[in-house]
Amino acid sequence: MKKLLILLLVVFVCISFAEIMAAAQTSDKLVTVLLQAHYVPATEQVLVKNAEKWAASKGVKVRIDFISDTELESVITSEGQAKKGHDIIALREYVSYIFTDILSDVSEVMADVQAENGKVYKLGEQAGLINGVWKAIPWFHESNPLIIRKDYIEQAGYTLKDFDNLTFDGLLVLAEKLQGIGHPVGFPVSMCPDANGILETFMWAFGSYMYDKDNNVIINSKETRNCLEYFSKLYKFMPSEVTGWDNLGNNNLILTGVGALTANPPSIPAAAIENNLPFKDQIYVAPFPSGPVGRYRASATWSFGIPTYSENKELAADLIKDILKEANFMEHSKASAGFNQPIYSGYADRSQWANNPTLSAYEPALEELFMFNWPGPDASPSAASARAQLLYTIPVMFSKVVTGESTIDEAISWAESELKRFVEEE
Amino acid sequence: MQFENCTMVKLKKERNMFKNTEEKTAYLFLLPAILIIVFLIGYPFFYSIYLSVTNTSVGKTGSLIGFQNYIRLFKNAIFRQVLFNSFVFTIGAVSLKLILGMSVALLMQKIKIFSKFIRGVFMLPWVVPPALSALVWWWMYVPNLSVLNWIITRIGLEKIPWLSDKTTAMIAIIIVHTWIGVPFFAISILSGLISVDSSLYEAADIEGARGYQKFLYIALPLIKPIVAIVLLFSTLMTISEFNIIYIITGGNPMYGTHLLATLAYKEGISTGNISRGAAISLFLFPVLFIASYLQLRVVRKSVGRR
Repeated sequence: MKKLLILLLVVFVCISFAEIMAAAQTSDKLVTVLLQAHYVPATEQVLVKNAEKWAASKGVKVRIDFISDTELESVITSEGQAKKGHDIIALREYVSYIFTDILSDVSEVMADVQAENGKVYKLGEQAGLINGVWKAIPWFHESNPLIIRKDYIEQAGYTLKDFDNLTFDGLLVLAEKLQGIGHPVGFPVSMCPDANGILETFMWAFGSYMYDKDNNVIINSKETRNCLEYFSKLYKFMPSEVTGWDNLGNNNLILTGVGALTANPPSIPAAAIENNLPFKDQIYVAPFPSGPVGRYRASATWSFGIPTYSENKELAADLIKDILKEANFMEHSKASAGFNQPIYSGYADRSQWANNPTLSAYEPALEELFMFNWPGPDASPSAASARAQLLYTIPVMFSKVVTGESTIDEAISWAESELKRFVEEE
Repeated sequence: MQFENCTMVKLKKERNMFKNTEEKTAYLFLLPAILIIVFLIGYPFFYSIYLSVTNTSVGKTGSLIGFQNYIRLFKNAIFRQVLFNSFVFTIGAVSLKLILGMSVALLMQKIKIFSKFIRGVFMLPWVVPPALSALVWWWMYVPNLSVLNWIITRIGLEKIPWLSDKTTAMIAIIIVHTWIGVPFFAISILSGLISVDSSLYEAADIEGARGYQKFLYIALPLIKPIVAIVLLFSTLMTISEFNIIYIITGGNPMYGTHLLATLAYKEGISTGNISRGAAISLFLFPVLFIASYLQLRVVRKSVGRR
């Protein structure tokens, strides 16, 4: 009996071992990708479909994990500390400067990508090229022009054409009229990602910046004061809830039919079409108004990074190149309802924007484009400006002023001390 | 005599051996718990202390910098505000939970019909995952969609800026936290009230005691240890609240609803400044340690007297 039991045990162990070996031989390598959940969900399906097609051609498997964009940096930090995680990670704007120690040098991949797709735009270069080494491969950008309700604008006595030459002073007049007809303007003045870029657009147009070329803090300036004074006037025509908005706050302002004007990428018209809202044909994109020193538009930029701990670096690089092929890029850009804007000069086909009257102002932009938390014309991006973005220093400064919690000087001093702290912590 | 001595020694030895074996078994059974405490609580705790005195950031091993992180925190206006928020939130929410929990427990003690069903239903807010509750409350507060504001305006009052004003946002998160936490207070206090010997109430009735007197002089002293334990747990859980803030306000407006846990997450995990995050999360440890010690002492004294 005892011998029989031992024999059975040996047979069982042998079979298990053989099965494990067989499974190991047949299993494909798995390439894992961590991306931000897209504000136009249809885009995700196209990405998955194309990635699976690529995986089949390489005889490997691929898994894309989509998570909320506000969670992204937390997951990357956790994986970076554990030195284990996804093979490709999505990086917003300047966060590559924070994660530079866990990002592989992708200069060779970037050379291939630019050879195939043309030179990357300046805002892409600022996101990925750190001290002469490419640490992130730019993917796309999503800019924040005005999103307007054409019918409400017309009720206030304006036409779409008026936006081509709209100034900040003109915006004040328009905002007052729109508030008068019960359909206010609204820009986020809260701790949410959209608020960073949108409020900075106002700052840039007044000539106000965060850092100079030596990373000195230069926010305490006459230009910042002028900007905050102007914005306090504009805030009077907005709903007070803008100081508590999350990233969906400005979307909801338009999608609930209440608001007439905000700034955002075209996820708002996309959602109106998807949900078949009665006013879906009334939502248009318009250029951002011009300020005293220029006309700007802030853009959120997305890049890919390959972590140093990835065990599939070559496959990861190959998948990124595949995603960035013009045909693939344009396919998922179309699926995003024009949300994903090209970041390489070689992508020639702009017909989806040019042929769509509601989106024609989106691409190409009339305004000068800069990335969220662009520190200033002479400054180099840094981990400090990335931290300012993730901790919402600029929106809090605006919020302190418009709610009356601080005077303009107090709010600027507070922001100055925070920006200095980020430099010290670098 | 010698034989007797010999037998005594043998018996003592056997008893000691038995005692030792019993002890050994006890330690063996305790081993899993000890291992869990050492590896899942002890190791991360001491590692956090180490991180908080370094300048570690993501992917970069830091060097020792002493108490620099703590000193910088003290100098930082945001941190001071968050510390204040944490105390306001904890004191507000725990006080509300205690008052409401006690009231509900007294009411439930009186209910005789469907009492089990009512107690079960009442536990629902505590049983539902906090993230789900927070999402529902967010929907009730969020501008343009707020069902609360819809009701408020229907009865002719002004809309409340639930999430865009520092005071109302703090009240909003205290309400949600209280809504989730009251059942725990109520059920715990109710179990204490039920265990009070009814003959004490009968004696008080004979003496002509009123309802509040019976509560103050009979029930309350007897349930004091339970209340103290519930308060201790609740204080610890409230001051480290995360889900509600993260989902409903995200710290808005202007850091007005950030608590230590959410700030530690934001600074340490989201921005990769790990040592600063560790310092923030450890900041309250001495305060909480002393508070826990004092509350446990109260419990021990009360139990000892009984």
